[in-house]
Amino acid sequence: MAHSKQEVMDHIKKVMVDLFELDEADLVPEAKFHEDLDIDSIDTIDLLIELKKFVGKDIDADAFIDATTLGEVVDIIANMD
Amino acid sequence: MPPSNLNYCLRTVAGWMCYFFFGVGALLPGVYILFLSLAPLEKPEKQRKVRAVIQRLCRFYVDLMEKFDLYDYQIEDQIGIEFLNRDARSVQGHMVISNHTMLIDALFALAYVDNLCCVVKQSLLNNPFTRVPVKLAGYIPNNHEQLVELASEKLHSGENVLIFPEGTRNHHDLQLDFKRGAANIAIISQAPILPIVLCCSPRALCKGDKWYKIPKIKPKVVMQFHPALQIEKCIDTNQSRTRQYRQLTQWLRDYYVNAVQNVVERA
Repeated sequence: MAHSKQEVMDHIKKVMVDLFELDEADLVPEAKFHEDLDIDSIDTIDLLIELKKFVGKDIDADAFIDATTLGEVVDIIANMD
Repeated sequence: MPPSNLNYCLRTVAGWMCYFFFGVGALLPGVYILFLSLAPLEKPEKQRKVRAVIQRLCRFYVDLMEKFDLYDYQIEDQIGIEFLNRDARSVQGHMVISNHTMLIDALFALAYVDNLCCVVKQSLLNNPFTRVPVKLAGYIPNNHEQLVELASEKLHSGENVLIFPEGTRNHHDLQLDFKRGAANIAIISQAPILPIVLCCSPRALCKGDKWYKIPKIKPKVVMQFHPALQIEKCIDTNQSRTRQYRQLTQWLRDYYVNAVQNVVERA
């Protein structure tokens, strides 16, 4: 089922608050994973696993790992639908 | 020349001699390791022998520096009772962690924990003098793409793995900026954690210090071995791994602040 960008963003925010104990206010599209959100490569894999459940199919892991901001991840997921 | 100045001069010369011995002293085991690399032995056997040589060499170095009056050192338990026999710890499959204050912290850990694997700079694998020993010892390069998984495999196979959670030497005994890497490995491997607390008073061989700069006052190094920690006794292991990484990192940091403070206050 296709998801709008807003739906993807809302879901990712929920997952990231839950997984990484982040403040939702910090989860803006420009937020950088490493510098702003303290997300490391191990966290990225856990996030990828969670988001696969949401979209119900494989996500391009290379593109996902290369993404540096939250907005880029939202684009990857939204463009899959 | 006043006796204190004379003593400082002698210790400065002794310090330079130690660095000389570091280089020359590594030649003999280096040749042995080179022969080992050519010997018809299985990889694990070579690894065991190379690590034993490195352990003896590190023990020689830390003792040599003490004999040259550069510092005194003491090995003790969690509450400060000295171990009079300076035997190495024979543990298996433990993640060995330590705070990182001095240039020579790893020497102490390598000297006093058997079968210890380290995470090393990739440059040591590019250096023609260190490449063979580092490879044969099975050390993990710090830029390895699957560092956590590889460390976890080694722990499961019974090797011990040394991690400095701070990643680099600190600037103050109690400013401990623990990164999550150590907790990541501990959670993924579920290995017990063997905490080592290292304190040097007054601080010496710190980050930014010149290698040839000898402290005016002879320092005392304290190395504490604490009882092994089981992760489930430290944090709630029923929550998501990502939360466990963070909580264990914070737990270990608090643990070390308390442990280091106890040693520093006694010094």
